[in-house]
Amino acid sequence: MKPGVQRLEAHSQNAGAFDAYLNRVRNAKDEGKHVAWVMAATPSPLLLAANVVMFIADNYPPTAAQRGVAGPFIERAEQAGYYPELCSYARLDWGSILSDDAGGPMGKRPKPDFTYTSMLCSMLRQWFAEVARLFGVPALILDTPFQPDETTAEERRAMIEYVHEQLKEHVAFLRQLTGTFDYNRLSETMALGKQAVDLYADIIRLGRHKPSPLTVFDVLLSTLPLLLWYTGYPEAITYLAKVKAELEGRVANKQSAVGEERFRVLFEGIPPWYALGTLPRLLASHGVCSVPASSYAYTWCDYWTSWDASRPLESIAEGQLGSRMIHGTKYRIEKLKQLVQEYDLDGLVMHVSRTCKLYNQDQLVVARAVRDELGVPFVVIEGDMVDQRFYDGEKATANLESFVESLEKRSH
Amino acid sequence: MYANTAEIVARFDRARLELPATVAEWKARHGGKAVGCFPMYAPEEILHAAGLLPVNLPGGDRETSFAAEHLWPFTCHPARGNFDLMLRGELDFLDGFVFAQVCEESKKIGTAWPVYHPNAWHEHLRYPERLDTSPSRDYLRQELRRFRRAVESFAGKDIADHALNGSIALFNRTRELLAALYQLRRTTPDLFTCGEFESVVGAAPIMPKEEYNDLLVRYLAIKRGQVAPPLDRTRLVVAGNPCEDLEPGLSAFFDESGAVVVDDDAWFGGRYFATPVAVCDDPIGALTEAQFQTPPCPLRLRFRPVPGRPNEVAPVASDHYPEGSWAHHVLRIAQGSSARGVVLLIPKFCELYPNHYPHVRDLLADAGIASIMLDTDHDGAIGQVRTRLQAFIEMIAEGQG
Repeated sequence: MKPGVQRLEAHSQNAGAFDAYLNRVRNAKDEGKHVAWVMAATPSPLLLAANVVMFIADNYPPTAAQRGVAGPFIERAEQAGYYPELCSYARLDWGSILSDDAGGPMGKRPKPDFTYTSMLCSMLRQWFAEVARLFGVPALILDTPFQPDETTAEERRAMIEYVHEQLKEHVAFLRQLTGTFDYNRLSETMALGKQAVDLYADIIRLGRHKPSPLTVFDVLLSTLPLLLWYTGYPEAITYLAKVKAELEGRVANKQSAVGEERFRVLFEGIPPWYALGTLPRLLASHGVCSVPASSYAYTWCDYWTSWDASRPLESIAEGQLGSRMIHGTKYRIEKLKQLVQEYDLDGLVMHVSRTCKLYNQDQLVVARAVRDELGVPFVVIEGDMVDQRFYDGEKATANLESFVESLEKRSH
Repeated sequence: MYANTAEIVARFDRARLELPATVAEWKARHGGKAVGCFPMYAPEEILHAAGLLPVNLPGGDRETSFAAEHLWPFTCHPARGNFDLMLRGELDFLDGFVFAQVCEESKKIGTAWPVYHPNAWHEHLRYPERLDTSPSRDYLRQELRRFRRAVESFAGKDIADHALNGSIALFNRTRELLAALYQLRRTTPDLFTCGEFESVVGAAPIMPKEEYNDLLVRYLAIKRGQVAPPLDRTRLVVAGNPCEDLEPGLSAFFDESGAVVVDDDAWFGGRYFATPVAVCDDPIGALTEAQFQTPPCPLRLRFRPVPGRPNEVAPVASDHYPEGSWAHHVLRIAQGSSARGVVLLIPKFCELYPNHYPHVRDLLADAGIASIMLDTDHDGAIGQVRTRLQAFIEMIAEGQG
């Protein structure tokens, strides 16, 4: 088959999922429910147990960027005095709030009753605290300490205990706000969430097959959002099961996600959302499959696979500390090496998101270590997650094409 | 020796500019090990009580071409500068490093450090970023206990409570003397040039405290006896500048510009001495409590969320700083020193300080105080900074601020 993007039928079938999620958010106030603006990894079962409706705030900037409406919001934030080198997700979100969401990808967002984030990075705390300040509402922050490489099991226990104690405080906050906190619902939604993330993990692991039946872009654009919008809801399982079934069919038929798989690479870093129309096509046209093995794709599994409905808060606390992104450099080098080996990769495409310090700080250190230890080359694409001013499409194309040429030379 | 302030200031300058020599002199006298701390916020008393010399790393002033091979150029200067010095081998005079986890740079650069410098001792303070809740207090106390054990193991020496209290008292003396110096500047700023003041204060996070305190006592005694003719200078406050010393040339610029810095919330400045630690039966408890009582800053969250109430009026952890936000703290400093303008300094690419700027700016503006935010990179290119500052100072002097 000729190289090129092979779209998944299941994703078209699930096309209504976004509108259904939006309607849930939009109708919340009319239904007398409280609304929280949350970061996607925030423990959703906690909020569902208090009958709170979640607006996934960190999904908003990627949506705006994909629809080409990010620029005016970013500029609005900078006019208001926000520093142009700050996290572009945060700048876009603040700018949108200051613009009353006019021209945004989903119309006027309902005002939050509070914001809630866990601390995947320090900036998230600032972002959600500032949103709370702009709306005059409280910010709930789940502090999840970064774990350096020397962290012992005993020290990790102390961190889990710290997160667990905070979760108890959050339960008290939610109960005080909404007058309810249903532990049965907590367990039910955790069980559903666990099933969904297990399905998601199965899906991304199917990328280990040769040829891979899916790319990381399929995950970023269609599969992962289903998980994020619907964690704790039964719909997640329905949606994801369809995706998995179709992919298993592709595996059985040895059908590649890019028509003809010539090289397998890992697209690492938080993605340049505005370029996810062009980059997948470019890579696929060269028979390059970006397998779904990035730290970004996997970090969601890190969060949720530990969920155990029989000990809800403690297992949520363990999951919150599970993300590889809050571990030391050596840990992440090992994790990346493991992915390179499991997925049998030919190279790494390192996207450097200028304003994402979570991903960019020691990114080069990690890439160099993996290259030196496994002999897997990498190429750098400079950009940003949603601030397109930092991205040069022609340069990215030239870098990727020359990288493909170098992979061809290596394979001969 | 040290008959006048010029000689004392020269000693402070030598400590700052010739850091390896300062440490070598200390080692020759004491025979102990020296530990670099990055960024500030390490409990230095614990290191001192174990017979170690804590040195806060100011970041250096040179171009960072070594680090450029391993870090992206948009890493903040304090992290990039220190990483560069380490790669060059110019921090080899230090026996160990302590990284306080307060932001993404300090977390990631801290754990990347041993990849390149595996033979030095390194320790990471896994600080809570919330200081608003009792779980944070318990967690921090536990973390400081763990840190104490790690330091004991490195130093090969147990830290007795009375030794730790002795170190706390020594550092409290530094804090007390610096507080007196700042009070003198607030009341009679014309006794000082900004350059001289930077020399005196900037040596505090670096020098052995025993020597520093002796010098500062003499310096203060001489200064208190001096009379300066009043100058009509524009009173400014400097705030921010986290994790490093002041941009080179900036103090000299203030002195040329017709402005005077009357107070600051800078890291190698007012923030360093702001919080005394209690001497008591539970020194680790006291060090924990002191962190909860530090002035608000963007690195730690201070609000205890309450349904239906904005963060700004929610209860906070500190008794001394009831408003809890950094913006309110900066406003308090500016009003307390009758400043007409506030200069917020941030290292270029820092992400935790600048997002507070709109809040700080608006609060100050409501109180009739002008403000400006400037990013600096210690790269020698401060022309634009000077131009913007000059315009800012002129605007205030003309009564438009």
